[in-house]
Amino acid sequence: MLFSCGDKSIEGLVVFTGIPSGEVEESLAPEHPMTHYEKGVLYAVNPDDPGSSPNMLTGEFAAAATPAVSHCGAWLFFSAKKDKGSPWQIWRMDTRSGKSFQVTSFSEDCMFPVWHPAGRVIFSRSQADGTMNLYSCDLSGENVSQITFHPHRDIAAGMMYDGRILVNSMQTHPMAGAARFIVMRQDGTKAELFHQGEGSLVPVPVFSESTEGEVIFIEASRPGGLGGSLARVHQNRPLYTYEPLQVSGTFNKVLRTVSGSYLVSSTENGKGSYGISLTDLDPGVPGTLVFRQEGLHAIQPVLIEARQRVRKLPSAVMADSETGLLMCQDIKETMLPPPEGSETSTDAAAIRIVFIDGTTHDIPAEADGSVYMELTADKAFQIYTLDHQGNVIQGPSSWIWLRPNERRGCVGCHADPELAPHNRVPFAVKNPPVSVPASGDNTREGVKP
Amino acid sequence: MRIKHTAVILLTVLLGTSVNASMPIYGNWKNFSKKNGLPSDKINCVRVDGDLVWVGTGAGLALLEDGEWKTFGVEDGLAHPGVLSIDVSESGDVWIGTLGGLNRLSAGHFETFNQFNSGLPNDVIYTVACAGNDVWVATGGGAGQYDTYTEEWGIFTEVNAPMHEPWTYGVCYGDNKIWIAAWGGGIIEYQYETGNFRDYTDPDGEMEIDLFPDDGLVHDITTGVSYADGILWVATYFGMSRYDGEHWKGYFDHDSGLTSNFINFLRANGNTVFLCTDKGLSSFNGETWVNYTRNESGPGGKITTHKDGRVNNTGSSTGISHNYVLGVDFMDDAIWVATSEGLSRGTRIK
Amino acid sequence: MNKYRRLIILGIVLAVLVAARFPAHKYFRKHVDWVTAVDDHPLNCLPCHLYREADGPFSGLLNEDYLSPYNLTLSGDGHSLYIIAQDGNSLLIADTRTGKIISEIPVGERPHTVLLSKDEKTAYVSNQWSDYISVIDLGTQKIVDSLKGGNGPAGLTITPDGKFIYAVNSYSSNISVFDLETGKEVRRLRAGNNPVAAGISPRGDQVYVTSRRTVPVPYGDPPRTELTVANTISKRVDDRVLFESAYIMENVDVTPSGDLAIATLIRPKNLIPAIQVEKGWMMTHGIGIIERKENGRTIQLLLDEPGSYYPDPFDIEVGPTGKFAYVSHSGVDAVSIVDLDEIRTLIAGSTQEELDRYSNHLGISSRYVRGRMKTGANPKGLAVSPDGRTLYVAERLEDRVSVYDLEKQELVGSIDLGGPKRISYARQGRRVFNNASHTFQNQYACYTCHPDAHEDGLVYNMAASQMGRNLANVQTLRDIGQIPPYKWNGKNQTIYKQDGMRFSTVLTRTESFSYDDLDALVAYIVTGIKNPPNYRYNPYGELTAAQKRGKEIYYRTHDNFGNEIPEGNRCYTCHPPPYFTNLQMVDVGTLSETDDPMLLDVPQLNNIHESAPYLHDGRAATLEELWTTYNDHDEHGVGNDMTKMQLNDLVAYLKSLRDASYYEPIDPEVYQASVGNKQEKKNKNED
Repeated sequence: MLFSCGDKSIEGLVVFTGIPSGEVEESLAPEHPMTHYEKGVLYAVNPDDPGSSPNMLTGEFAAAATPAVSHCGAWLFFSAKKDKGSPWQIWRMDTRSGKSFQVTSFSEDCMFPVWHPAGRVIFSRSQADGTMNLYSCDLSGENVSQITFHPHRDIAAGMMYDGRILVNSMQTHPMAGAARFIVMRQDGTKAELFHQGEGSLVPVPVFSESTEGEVIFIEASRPGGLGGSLARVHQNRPLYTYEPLQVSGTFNKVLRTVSGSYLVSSTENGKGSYGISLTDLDPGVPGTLVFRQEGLHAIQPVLIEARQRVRKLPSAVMADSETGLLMCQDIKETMLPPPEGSETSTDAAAIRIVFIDGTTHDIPAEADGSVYMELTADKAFQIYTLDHQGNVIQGPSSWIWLRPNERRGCVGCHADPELAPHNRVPFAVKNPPVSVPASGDNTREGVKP
Repeated sequence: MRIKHTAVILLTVLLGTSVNASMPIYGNWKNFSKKNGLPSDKINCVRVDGDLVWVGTGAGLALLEDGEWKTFGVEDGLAHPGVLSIDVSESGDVWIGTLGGLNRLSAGHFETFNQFNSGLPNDVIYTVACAGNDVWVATGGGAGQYDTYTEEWGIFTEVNAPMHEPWTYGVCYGDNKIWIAAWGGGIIEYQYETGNFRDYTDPDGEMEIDLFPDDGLVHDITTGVSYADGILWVATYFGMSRYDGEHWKGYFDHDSGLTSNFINFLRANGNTVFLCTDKGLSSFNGETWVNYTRNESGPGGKITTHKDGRVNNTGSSTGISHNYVLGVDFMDDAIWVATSEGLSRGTRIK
Repeated sequence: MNKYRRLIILGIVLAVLVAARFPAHKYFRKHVDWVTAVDDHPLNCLPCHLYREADGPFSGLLNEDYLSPYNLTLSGDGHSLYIIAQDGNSLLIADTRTGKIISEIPVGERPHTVLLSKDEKTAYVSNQWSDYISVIDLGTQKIVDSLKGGNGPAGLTITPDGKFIYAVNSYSSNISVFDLETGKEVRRLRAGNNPVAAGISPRGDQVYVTSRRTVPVPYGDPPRTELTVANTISKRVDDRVLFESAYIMENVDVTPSGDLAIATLIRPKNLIPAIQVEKGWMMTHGIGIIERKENGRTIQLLLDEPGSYYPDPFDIEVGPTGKFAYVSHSGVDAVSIVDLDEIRTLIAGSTQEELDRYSNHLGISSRYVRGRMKTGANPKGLAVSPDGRTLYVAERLEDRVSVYDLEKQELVGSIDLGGPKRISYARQGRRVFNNASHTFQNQYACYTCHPDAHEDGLVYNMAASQMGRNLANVQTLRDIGQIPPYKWNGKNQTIYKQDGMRFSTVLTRTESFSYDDLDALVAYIVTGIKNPPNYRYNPYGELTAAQKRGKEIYYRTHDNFGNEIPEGNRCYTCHPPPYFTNLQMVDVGTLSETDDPMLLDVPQLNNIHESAPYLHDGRAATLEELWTTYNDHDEHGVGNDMTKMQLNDLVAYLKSLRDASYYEPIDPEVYQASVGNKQEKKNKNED
């Protein structure tokens, strides 16, 4: 299916989603607040001609949102509804010709496109149970591959320069969890926590990384609003470098451009319409206005330009494998204090694996605390540590999954995430791995609050 | 204390009238055993390095430093608990010959050489001797020469040296030469300058008696060798030989002051040689014998001097630990003696 | 090269290119696919058939003679910078006020370190590949003498009274003490394994000597690498400080107050299954610290960060105030600024248990790393000006010394050494080899496990199948262009395949090399990595008596009992010269229980004395153990009949083996005939 926006090139232009400012609260897509607006339209505006009128790009769609640009600047991706009743799908637009092509064709919503450096697109696909996992496919929508496998709402925030996907992830089952950033390789392996929101702040799925490794993102004080405040972490030490940015305004998007300035969508004090400007994020220096129009929130801006491609990470996933390997060097290694009244965590003698389907396995640790397991792949599970009597010391962990043929190691259970392993042979790897299969069905018996 | 002090003075006066002026006399013995912190009472060897005393026992290595004993065992890296010989290189590396390989102990760290991981001829090492950048070992499988610069080993046995069999018992260095006490083969001399070997044997070849006195070595079964001041001293189980480069002379317990023909070890210090026998410690400077024995009963010991046919016995309130002597070394005015039942330290009283 | 000859070459190249484009395209495509093990490598003949020319008609056109600055020394007034040109075999002297090179003094091969006498009238340059130290009169700028000690002289330091030089012998693993009045070596002290650099305490009472390879440890234990502490009074070794789980300690410096001795180091994770790079799972990098006081502790601290690594720390220079130290990271083209006061505070407030934990902590560096300064390619030696305001950085693969303002942490200038401006293919490949940007989060470079393009002496659990299985002893990269296949299991028929896509999947775990970089890397590996001279065991090609005897054993056809040794069980059958490998896959009974069934690629033996441990999984700590311990059934050559003396001789011969250029291929039949006629000298081997 092909749509045209007039065969006009949009190279060098700023593309944004425009929504009527008076109807925001009423018109937000209920399942996808802040991002997908049932009357959203993509516009293009020339940043060098701030007074010019925006050019509508998606007039033939019932709704459009979340534009994203390929690294080469040749493709504009966005999520759109062709008709009001149809699901959101991923589309791509040739930035030279303005022609659009449908990428995904699922019965569920497919949203939040992000360019994958191997010439694919990453997107979130809704499930009937309210979860939303990441997938990727090629530009024709073929060769779909699932990336995440846990009961979360995952939204790809973007690609980091080291090639990993930064994902805004919020647990949905067995109960709603806090939104946080997790990071993983392009094939969904080695997923780990990147940044946990502070208190009630919710990191929203937009971020911008500088070549120096500074990651700026937006936090909202509540879900559902259009914007929030700016904060940053350093990608080299994200768990301990959180810092709110002292830049006034409420922000919907921040994007570092190739020139080094930031393209932002913001409004002063949360009042009035969101406009777009280029800024250095220096509190004392006003930015350059690109577009602002009363009555229209200009959000989710992107600049159509080529930029440094993030790395293509090789994949360890083998489709013909049904399992992955997990090795923990010492289950006694933990930074968590033991629960009140329980034994110390150093008494951990075994771990319990509970798959999302309820299958449970207790695996005793070797004398050095190591365990080595072969688990069913692409199936979420949680880990508990047990004492010698089988009592739970810590747990459950966050949901974890292994991809087929993924081989993953950890220093301990809830170990200091900045701790590198001790250089010693884990006793457990001197023997074959303990087989830890899931039941094979897709129930969620193991999901207990 | 006063009695002890008086005894020492008296001993000094008595001995001073009868022995060669340069012959050292030791007394005031202090003995060390497991009670003092040694790993075993069976002391096989002792080696002095400046202020340090290294002691090889049947159950590990010991070091006396600043009045404190430290011990080292297999768990510390010692190749075998049975330590038979110790020498210290100029650079301070301690070389330890054991019943199960050779150790280099350098600044507190052990390194093990054995016949599996190195060119060491055999793991049973009777004697180790440092010679410049070389370390020589006398082993049950031949003499070994380890070049610490190139880390290469040479092995010398009856195949490539004038030996009777590979079993070697002692080795020493001096004047750019190596002397090897080879079991049944007499003394093998190696000249660094030429790279050649020659042997010294008992010309009469008799195993029971020394048929022709002073014709060469007293016996081909040699147990130790030491060189100092131009004199080569050779120990056997059948007496001692002295070689000044031209003439050999034999010494036996029946015709000299030697306390026993059964000599386990010997070490020369200047012009004096100290002989570790099964019946006490003998010392000899070519003219005078001074022997140290422990009383068979009672705590004290005896010093016996032999000179010009005169014998003088002097009792002492202290004595060496045991008459079965296995090793000896010197520290300024002190002498350290290894015996089968303890370590002894004597101080020079003349 | 005359014009006519160039035209011929050009014609040949054009003919090949035309042929590749048209009639023989299919054949060339198939050939390139086989070589590269991919089907999309550009159909370009030049990378393999031109840029890989180590010698011959093209090499002169393609390659350049680079200078490669390595170590630096500043004069006391800071006006003269002495620069070792490692590949230029010279000492360069720069005027720091003008930023110009004012003189170049040829020295020996592969110089390493320059040291000034106390009166600064004499310079001493260690020549690692020439086995001596050049003594240079700086007035006449002539070499006036040489000092000869151990093998592979590298780091140098001088006592405060100016009377003694301590020279680190990197190949013979010891320290030569030279009396400068006599020019004689007065003592040789054993050092760690492959020592490289020396630093001296401010009072001059102790010399610290780093080493790169682990001391012998039980098989399966983590490496322990020695920092040797020599006493300049007794001229003995005071201490051998072992840094646990660390190696490749390149350089050391002592603070002006003398409270800390600090060395660079790497903390490898070779014993852990190599299943990921994330979270420091492969390599971490930092510094080792000795508290110089009674009961002082030994501390290791990382300079890495959780998401970004700073591999291959090389030089460390402490500033004149003792508050900051500067560390060059050869693998990421950066210099770290380390706050030593913060480290002092950290150490003072930490228990030993906490310090042990910090040694593996990737985030702790945020407490004491005050900045990172980007440099040119492959920063090596550093020098801090006497006022502490300026840092000089030897950028080895730029032929340049860069100058930084330390207060502003900014590049303020550079000293061009005058080397070639063109970057040859091999040079580009050498940059790729040394740079960690081709590894996920820059965790390690090729160089990290292959220092000096050799090997690091460790055994890694590459976890090719299951974790804990198929341990692999790192192999040297010296002169391997002609000896395929690669990897112990011989699965890679070319270096292209070895370093291609699978390499990135299982090892670097980031985007694979671009084909341009891969071509360059292969060109470097094939042309740029040579064996050092074997001065230690075979300096001039004249074998010792023991080596000659050993050679006879090596080429023997009958055992000690007169039985004919089956041809496949003779040393020379599988290990024929010049590389001492027949390039075949064999089973010599050395697989262990943790190995999957496989055949093993016969390894080359050139300079084998530098490649301990031995066997594919590094089980044999010494050459002797190959036959005393791991050849029960005579499958790895008939050897159980040998006497201990014969084994020593054989080992002596093996240690004498040197670069393949000294040998010629051997025809077994011809050789057999020559042995039969007792004409062993028929082939061109040494004696």
